[in-house]
Amino acid sequence: MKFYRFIFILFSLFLTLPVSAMEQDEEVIEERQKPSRNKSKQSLPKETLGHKAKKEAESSTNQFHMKFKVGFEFQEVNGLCPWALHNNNIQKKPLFFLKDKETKRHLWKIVIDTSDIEFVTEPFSYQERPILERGIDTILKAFNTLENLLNHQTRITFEGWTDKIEELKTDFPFFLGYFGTYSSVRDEFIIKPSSQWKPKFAPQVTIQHPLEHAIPLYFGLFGFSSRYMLDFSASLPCRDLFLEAQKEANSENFGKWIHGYGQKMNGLVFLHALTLVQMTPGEDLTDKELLKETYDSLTNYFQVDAKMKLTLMSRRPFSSMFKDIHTQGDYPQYFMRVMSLNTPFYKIPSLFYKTNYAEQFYDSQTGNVKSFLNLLPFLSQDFVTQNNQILIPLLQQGVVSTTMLRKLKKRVKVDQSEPVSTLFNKYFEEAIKTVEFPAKTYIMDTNNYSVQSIPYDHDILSPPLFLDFENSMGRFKDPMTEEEKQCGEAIIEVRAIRDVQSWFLKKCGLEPELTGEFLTKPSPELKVQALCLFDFLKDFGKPSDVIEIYYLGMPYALRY
Amino acid sequence: MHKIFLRLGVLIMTSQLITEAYCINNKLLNLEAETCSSKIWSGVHIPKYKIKESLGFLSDTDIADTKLSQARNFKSFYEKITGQVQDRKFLQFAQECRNIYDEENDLTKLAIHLLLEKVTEKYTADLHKAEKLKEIRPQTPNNKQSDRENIFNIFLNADKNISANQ
Repeated sequence: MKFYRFIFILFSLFLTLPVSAMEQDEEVIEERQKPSRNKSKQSLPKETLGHKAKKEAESSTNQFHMKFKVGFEFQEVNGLCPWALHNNNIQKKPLFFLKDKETKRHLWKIVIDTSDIEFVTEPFSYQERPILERGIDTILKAFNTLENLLNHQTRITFEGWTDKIEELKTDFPFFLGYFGTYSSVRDEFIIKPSSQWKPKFAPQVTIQHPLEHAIPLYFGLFGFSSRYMLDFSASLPCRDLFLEAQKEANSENFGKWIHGYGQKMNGLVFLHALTLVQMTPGEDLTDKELLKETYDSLTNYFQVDAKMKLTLMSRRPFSSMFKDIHTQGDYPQYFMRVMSLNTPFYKIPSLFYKTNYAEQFYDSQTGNVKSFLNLLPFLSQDFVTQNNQILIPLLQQGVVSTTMLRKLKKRVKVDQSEPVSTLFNKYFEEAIKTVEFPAKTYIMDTNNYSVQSIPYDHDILSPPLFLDFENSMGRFKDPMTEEEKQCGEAIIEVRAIRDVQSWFLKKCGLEPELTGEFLTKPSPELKVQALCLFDFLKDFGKPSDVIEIYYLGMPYALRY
Repeated sequence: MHKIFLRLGVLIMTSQLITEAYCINNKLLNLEAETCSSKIWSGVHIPKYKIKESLGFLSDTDIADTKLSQARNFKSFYEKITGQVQDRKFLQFAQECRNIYDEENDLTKLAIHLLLEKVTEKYTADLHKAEKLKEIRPQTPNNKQSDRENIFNIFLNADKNISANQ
């Protein structure tokens, strides 16, 4: 009985959460209207999007739901734009966008990521289901248009594609706008990769949500028997105590755990610890193997930075989230204490110095990679001799990795005082400390490879050391307004969303076999799945969810 | 157990050096292999038609003879990995791959070899990680009971105060 009373109290607490608005991830560079060839001939249906959204918001006022925003990215992974691969002036720059005509709401934009075409939607708040629906509909229409074009003529220019999208206005009233970068690609070809081309999306979603939902939400999405549980288990604060509590089978005591894991601070510790765990390489990996890992990533996936290893990537600095919680006390000490009660985590502090990621440098004028072969004389002789065969091609491709920087000669100093390797030795400690006490980060002078500290207002994983400040890890550095905070402190890129697991899928009425394929097919199923995710998030946190996740799922997941 | 992982690592790395000379969509291969590995780990059966659907990373461009000779090594590769990874879910997947290999054309034979190789690499890496986690279990730091209770009490109200001196 006490347990149910506790659940009721929890339920009531959730109801008192503030209502929300949303953070914009806007990158508008230049907007211009392309002369339209077809005028919209159809009027909107009687019940318009705006009307639907308003009605839905009103009807949900008294219902339980989590306040959130969700945005989607759909990257077609067959490399339709091979010519774009090494041109950094085009990479990830928005090309054109689609805006809903009635609500004037931006729905999505197109970017090129490596050699792939990618649809990036706006974030949609929990009150904007009809707008999300319209967004996914138009993505599918636009993509199907491209697919049809490529099935008839094997290649089409961007302009050819956008002209065809414009023709869709007869069915969907929208506005297509063009960014400055569009002019550099309008005559470039989108190329069908092979006669048996089967389009496939690599999806990602970004969710803004309150930190108190972080632990149950991500265990719910990825639990409870998946490989992700290895890292999740190693990142759960007080994991060992939680498992001991299972043995007691005392529901009253167990309720305290649900309360504890529902603390914003513990959600933050979990997300922070998970980032550290996933950035830490296996203890038996040698420098040669770490360099090969970077080389393989570069040649196979054209990416070398830290986020590749992350299941969940925070778009906000951990330090910003910490500030938003307004707790009292010492974060570094608290982090270490609650994580000392997690056995699988215990080697992370001593292994983190070997974290392996890299930056690829480009010539700002040509957009081509910039060779860094002049780094060789600054690296220790043994390291160069042993790894010459991988080092040279990496440096020629403008790739500088943390494994290389750890091996800089001792004469290369940080602030002209200590060797750069010492920076890595205290990297873990600084990554914890700077969440509460941000002070400085480090930049490298690429002429003499000396390292200088500079004042910095965020933790040093936002972005990780030596990565570009525009890197997506911890990119949203501006303070949130109170209105923006209403959807929560956390903005998390769920990089492994296609691998959502059976508990979530069953909740949505989807087949468990869909794991690994969620949101990957550009077909009408995609819309169903996107809306399922939206509805799941909207209802998330119901007492039944809490019971299933904490009582049944997590104890099983934590067996590692 | 570690020796098995190391041997598998060498086997796979050697094979990768061969494939690097060819034109396949490695990014897609990696995605498909991750999907298979993830499903195997979660105990989700992957039917034969799904495996075949996941072979789109290799297109119908000309295949060099050397590349086909790699496909011909499939059976010895299969024998090695199934002898070394004694995991029922993985073996079931490997068996399906072998069935496809036996029934299909040269292009599919090569694709199935590449897929099984990549899935093995990923799956054994996760097995290795799980093994490592089991190993560190006995070395749990032995916090005092009073300290543990203190941490738990702070943990319960962490949004208000996380100071150790409450």
